[in-house]
Amino acid sequence: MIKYAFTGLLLALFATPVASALDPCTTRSDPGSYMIYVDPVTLASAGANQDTFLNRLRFAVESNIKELRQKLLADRSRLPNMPHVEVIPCNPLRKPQQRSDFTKTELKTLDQFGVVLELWGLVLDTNGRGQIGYTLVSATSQKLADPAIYTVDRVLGSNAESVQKAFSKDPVLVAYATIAVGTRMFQNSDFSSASSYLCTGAVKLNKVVADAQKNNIDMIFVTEQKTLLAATLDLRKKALQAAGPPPSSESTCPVENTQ
Amino acid sequence: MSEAPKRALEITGTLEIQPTDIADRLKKIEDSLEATKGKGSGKDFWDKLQASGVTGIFSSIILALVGFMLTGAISNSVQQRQMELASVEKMQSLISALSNPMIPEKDEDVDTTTLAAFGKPAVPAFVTFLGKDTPTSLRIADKGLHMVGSAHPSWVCVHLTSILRNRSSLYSWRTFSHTLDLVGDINCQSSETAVQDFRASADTLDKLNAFVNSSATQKDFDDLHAQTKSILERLQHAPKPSNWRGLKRFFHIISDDEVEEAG
Repeated sequence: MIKYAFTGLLLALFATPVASALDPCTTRSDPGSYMIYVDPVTLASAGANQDTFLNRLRFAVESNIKELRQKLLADRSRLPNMPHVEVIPCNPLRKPQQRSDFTKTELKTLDQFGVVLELWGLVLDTNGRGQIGYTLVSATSQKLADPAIYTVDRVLGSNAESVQKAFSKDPVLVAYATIAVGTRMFQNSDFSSASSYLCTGAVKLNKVVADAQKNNIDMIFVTEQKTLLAATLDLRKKALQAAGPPPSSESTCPVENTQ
Repeated sequence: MSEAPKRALEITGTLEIQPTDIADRLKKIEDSLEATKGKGSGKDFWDKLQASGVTGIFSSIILALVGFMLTGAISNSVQQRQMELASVEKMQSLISALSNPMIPEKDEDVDTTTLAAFGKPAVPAFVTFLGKDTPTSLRIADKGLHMVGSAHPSWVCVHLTSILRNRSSLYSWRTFSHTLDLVGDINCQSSETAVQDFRASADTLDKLNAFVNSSATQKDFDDLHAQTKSILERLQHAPKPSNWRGLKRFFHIISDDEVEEAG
């Protein structure tokens, strides 16, 4: 017994340190739903009310995915098993700061618990500049990119109202959410729906890329998005093949002509 | 006083004396005595040993040794039990803290490492965490069982095999997934048959959903199926124990400790 305890102690002291993990997001689990996690925001002003801000951010995300939800609702009349998309604000202690915070283990856990997308890392300075991170969990597990984690520099304002306003229409989030949902549908062998959502997502992402090129935004971001766009269209092709012969109107996605 | 008249008494009979017979009997008695004397002088080793009283001393020593060993074993057993009870008391607060699904990551890391330091007595607690279906509990179980299992695979592997053989809807598909990962990482050679059985029992989505406590989707099934195949291949290609180690393993098994070979 003493030998066991001593071995255990040595083991614990000299064991290979495991990479630090993120704090848990929520205890909520909703089997059958696709979840979007929204992490808290780090504001430069210390007095800012984090809870209020997180709620505002959640509403902003909700408004961004309104169109996606409406499409899912419309499809549910045809396919009762269509999933719900839930936006879940995370525990205030969960604060990813960089891409590497999403380890393989973390991404696998998110994937296993039905999370398709996580929005994180709004680190705002006093001028309202910050960085938004998007982790596409399902796209990573499907290897559309390895990993499909992207950051965008944005000027969002220095208070909760301006950030909410600036964030209420985020074309990047809309495109990513649609691609993430379409990818998960493909993984669940719902190939017909997957091809539709992946095409919609590709169209929205193509617009993001076009705008970024026009405004001469970060070229690395543009390159990454083009790669993601191509992978999304490839997955759509696979979905179409697996679904069987589609109606002619659905066989091509408008973006494919521009690729 | 008048004297009584004297009467003559006549005795008739024969007195047959056979000197030869008496001599024979005497001779026999003498021979018998001689034989007994002769036997006494030809004692074997044990007779001598018995006669000398060494056996008494020897049996006393044996008795003392057995008594000492028995007392030692009982004393050890009592001490081990006392230590286990003391460990349970010390582990209680750690287990309680780790049971909070929203435990901060920093505390989780420290508490898991401390609990793992208890070694064998901590394994059942980590196995219980593995059975809970939350991201935090699965992470704690992964970390703790890795720590203990990397030094003493046998302590952990026996529990993992037991989970893989369970078909009572006690566990979620995620618990099975994490168990398979641990089996592969710790190189539980003794779990190979259980992994094969699991693969056969869960070769379709419906079969899998028949014995897990939360329905798996097609994606979950595909991932688990691919994972089972990969772990099985890893076990089959992992280094096997040498004959010498196999012999050691055999002896360890009969001394109540199943030894695994970490790959």
